[in-house]
Amino acid sequence: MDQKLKYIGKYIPIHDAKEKVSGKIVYVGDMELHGMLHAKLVLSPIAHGRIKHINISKAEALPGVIAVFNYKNSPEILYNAHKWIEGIEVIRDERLFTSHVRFFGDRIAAVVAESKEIAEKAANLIEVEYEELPVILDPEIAKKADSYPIHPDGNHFFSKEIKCGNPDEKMKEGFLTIEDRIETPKTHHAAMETHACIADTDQIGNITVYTPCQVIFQVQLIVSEALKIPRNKIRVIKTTTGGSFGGKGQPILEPIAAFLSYTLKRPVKLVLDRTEEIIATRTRTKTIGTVQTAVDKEGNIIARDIHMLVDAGAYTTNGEAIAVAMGKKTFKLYRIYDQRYVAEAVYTNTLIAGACRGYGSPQIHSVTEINLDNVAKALHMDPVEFRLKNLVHPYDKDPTGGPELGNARIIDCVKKGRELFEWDKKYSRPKQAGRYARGVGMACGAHGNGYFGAYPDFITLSLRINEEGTAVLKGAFHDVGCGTNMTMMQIVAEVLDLDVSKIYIPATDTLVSPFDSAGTQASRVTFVCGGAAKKVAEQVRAKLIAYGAKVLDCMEADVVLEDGYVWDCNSIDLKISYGELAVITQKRYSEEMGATMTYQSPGNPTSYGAHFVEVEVDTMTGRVKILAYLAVHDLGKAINSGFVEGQIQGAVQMGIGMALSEEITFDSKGKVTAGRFSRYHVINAPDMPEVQVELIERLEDLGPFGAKSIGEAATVPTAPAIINAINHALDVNLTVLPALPDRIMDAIKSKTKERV
Amino acid sequence: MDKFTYKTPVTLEELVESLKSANENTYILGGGTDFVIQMRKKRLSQGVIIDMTGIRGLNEINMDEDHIRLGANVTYSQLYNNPFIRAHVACLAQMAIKVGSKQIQNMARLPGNIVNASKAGDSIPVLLALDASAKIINSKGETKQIKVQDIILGMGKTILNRDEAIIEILFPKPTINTRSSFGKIGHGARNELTIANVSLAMITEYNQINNIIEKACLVVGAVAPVAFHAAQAEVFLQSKRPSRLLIPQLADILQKQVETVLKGNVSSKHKINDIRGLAFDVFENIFTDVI
Ligand SMILES: Cc1cc2nc3c(=O)[nH]c(=O)nc-3n(C[C@H](O)[C@H](O)[C@H](O)COP(=O)(O)OP(=O)(O)OC[C@H]3O[C@@H](n4cnc5c(N)ncnc54)[C@H](O)[C@@H]3O)c2cc1C
Repeated sequence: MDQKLKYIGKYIPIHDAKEKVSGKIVYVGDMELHGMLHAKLVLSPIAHGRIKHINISKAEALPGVIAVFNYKNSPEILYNAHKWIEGIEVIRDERLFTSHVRFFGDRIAAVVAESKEIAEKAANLIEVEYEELPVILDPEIAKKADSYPIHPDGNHFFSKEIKCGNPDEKMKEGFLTIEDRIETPKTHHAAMETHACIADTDQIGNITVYTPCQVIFQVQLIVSEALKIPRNKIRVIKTTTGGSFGGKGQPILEPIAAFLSYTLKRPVKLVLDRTEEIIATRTRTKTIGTVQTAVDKEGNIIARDIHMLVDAGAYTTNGEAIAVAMGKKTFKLYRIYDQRYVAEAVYTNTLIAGACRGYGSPQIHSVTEINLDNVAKALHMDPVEFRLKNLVHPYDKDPTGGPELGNARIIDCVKKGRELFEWDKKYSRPKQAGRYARGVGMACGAHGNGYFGAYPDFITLSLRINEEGTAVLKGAFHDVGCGTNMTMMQIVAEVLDLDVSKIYIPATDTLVSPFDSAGTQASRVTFVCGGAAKKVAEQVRAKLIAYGAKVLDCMEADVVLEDGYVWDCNSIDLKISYGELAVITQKRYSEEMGATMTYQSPGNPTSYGAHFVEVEVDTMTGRVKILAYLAVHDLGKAINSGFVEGQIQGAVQMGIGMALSEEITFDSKGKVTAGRFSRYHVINAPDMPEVQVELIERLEDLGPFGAKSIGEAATVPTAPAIINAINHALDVNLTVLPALPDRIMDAIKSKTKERV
Repeated sequence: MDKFTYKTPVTLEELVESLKSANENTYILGGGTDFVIQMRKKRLSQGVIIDMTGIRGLNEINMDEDHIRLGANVTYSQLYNNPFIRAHVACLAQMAIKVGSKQIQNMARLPGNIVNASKAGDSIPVLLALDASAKIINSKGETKQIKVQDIILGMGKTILNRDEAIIEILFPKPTINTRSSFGKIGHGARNELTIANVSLAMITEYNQINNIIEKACLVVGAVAPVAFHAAQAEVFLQSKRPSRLLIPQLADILQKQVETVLKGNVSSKHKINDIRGLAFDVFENIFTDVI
């Protein structure tokens, strides 16, 4: 790895940048198939109830309407869209159209018509009479054994404990014990492209689904389960994706569009508008965490006890998985040998939770990192100093026996951040009197690299150098807009010493892409799929050398590969291109210049980050301005520096939203009151601070060129860093995220009351 | 098939002609920044659209003896880019630059904001404070001048008939003593690009020689269905010397008035905090050189 890298670490624009900025790219919403119909969903206007009566006759009578589907004429099969691979156990509780609505936005029907406008008109003509049932919005009420059951087996559907050492005993020995209760909100992913899908069915009943998805094989699996159709009759083609952030992980529209098309034998398009996108897809899981941390006099953490209440919303989806995923992170950031993590998951009559950038990490870290600042405060210690005492060191073991941490460089992140941010100076600066209060805060975060140690984690790739000297890499890659394809291309280019422009990645398609066990999930793509790309490229490189030696009649050690050409270092005049070599190899040896292999993830190291932020709070109105922001990340090695910077800046934008402004709210009956962007506030350009990015590139042993994950890891420390900064500015203890102006004003007021 | 007829008058005569056949399916189009959204929301799919934006001469900012006259097609961008408006009608320029984003400011116009009559319309408190009127033309070619105050009846309601269009907004010329400012605080936590949660327009006649506020006019927006004068605050400031000490008192009065209007509506309680912040912002903005 000492030799100079040609492609790794450079900024090369995303592979479809030109088509995107010139508007030429085709998203699924732009696609038109011959004879295509349009579908519109009908969503529940109440949060809990049973359909007593549904009248579709007016809708059916509207000219241009082809069919109306609801629970009466659609499969009753239950499925769980979270299931991405055969062999994992899930609670199946979702069906295409329900007669028992469990949240405001539950699917009750779909209208299919000749045009989108007609479908919309008809959807409004459907009359439904409900028997209303008690509505449970608060997960703490849902947890009670006597709460009205949203599903037959009650609302409390999962608990899990993860433990190391003896936290109960150790807790008693604490010089100081600090307890906090922190709530994190349900939020919306806010990808630019809303959910959309087209399904087409041929004469013999083969279905093709075009979808901007994260896992083609999961779409195939769920469509197959929901419709009871063999998998081989379902082909899934991933389309260009306009952002996902976890929101397009679970197949939501795909089984519906497939069913409509399969039944009507015509192509059907289904596109959600923003309100539908907010209420009827998935959200970030709401959590209520309580945490108790015990420290000794010197500030060493001696025990910690964490309890997370997970609000899965109206259906299970990934409620169990996320509860466990959050817990695992708590053993990988600090050296805490006596710790218990308990999670309980419940249903409420609220929007369905699912994966959202960070998969629980932003939530669990909000709980623990805000708490740690309160511990530091009680100890009269600088929070940076306090953390440095307790953070994990490179190659520490996971005390619960989980995957090893690898080259964990969080201490480097914190030290670097402290210096660049001028933390010591800013933290100790005397507070100014007046309307605007300034403060600084920081937080650390940990996130994984794939499924190793938990679920099957492998990918099959096929790489071939063809006769003209370009290379084709076939694999189920799901570029959701963050540069997956270019990342793979750079890795292959580096290994083969072939220009990136000569590497081609075809569309991701269940019919032609080799199998991949998990898709774009779990921060596995660069680490696992990138590792696979490197490995398969190395196999092809070995072949180039082996056949190069034969053809050039020289020692393998004398073969030089450079920029698409191969030669014997002793006779520089005879250079043959990779393409020519491929042709000769085919002709002479009946062998192709390619390789296909299955790569198993070698581990699951941890990615780390530390964020530093300075805020100014208007103590009259409770509004917060972010004055300075620094994100320092241990990602092993940046494959594409521009993508990494972009990922971190975008992740910070999402984290600020979670800290300050984004929250899906409900009225007392469970109706969503933030179902559009004028009521659901993402942080947009004018409010975005300059985000300074600093990378610690100390190379992860198991990662391709030393790389590990960043896209999810980067949004983990943001919210707690901001809350810590506000708490520092105002000397308050905010416990409910987001820190909306009202909540900040209440905190200021209760503080002044305390003083009186 | 449903369809729209799209009329593009270029003179006032042609506008009058277009208005002649006006009925409940006739829509007047300015910048379209509200109308296009309404069109989708109400699923309008047929009728007649009369596009105002091509009418000659209505995109000018003029001044006569007593009045500033803004043609119906003057955009927010034009307002804040106009040096006179910026210097002498600061509240109007400050309002214009806070409406939506640049794209919106380049398209949107004042008549649309008035006729849309949203509770949160930013121009409304400013126009009330300026004592502005609108010049309205009807299908017979008759014009009349009506105070903006009297045009807006409630949320989304105005006195305008289908065959009437606003062709001009006018207000009394500022004096050398006129000073003004506008502030708004939006919904949610964002600082920029927001829909007003509370807004405040303030215009004063300030005699610098005597250092006296001779007259003050304060209008609060986005709290009640229609923006209203904060009468007690206006009385309070009259004949006062501007000073920092005045601000907390002014803020108290405004808070009390907003609280009264809200009548204990808890979901809006942050408006009470916000108006306090605005009182400071707006007052300090007007008198920064003398306090
Ligand atoms: C993204 C976005 C952000 C926005 N931000 C703000 C904001 O910060 N503050 C704010 O106040 N508003 C905001 N708006 C709303 C809108 O931009 C304003 O209300 C604007 O002033 C409307 O003007 P327009 O010229 O676009 O009106 P149009 O949309 O063309 O018309 C609006 C209504 O007025 C009628 N109308 C228009 N012109 C005339 C006329 N000459 N005579 C009679 N009737 C007429 C139309 O028939 C229609 O009913 C925003 C809108 C968007 C889309």
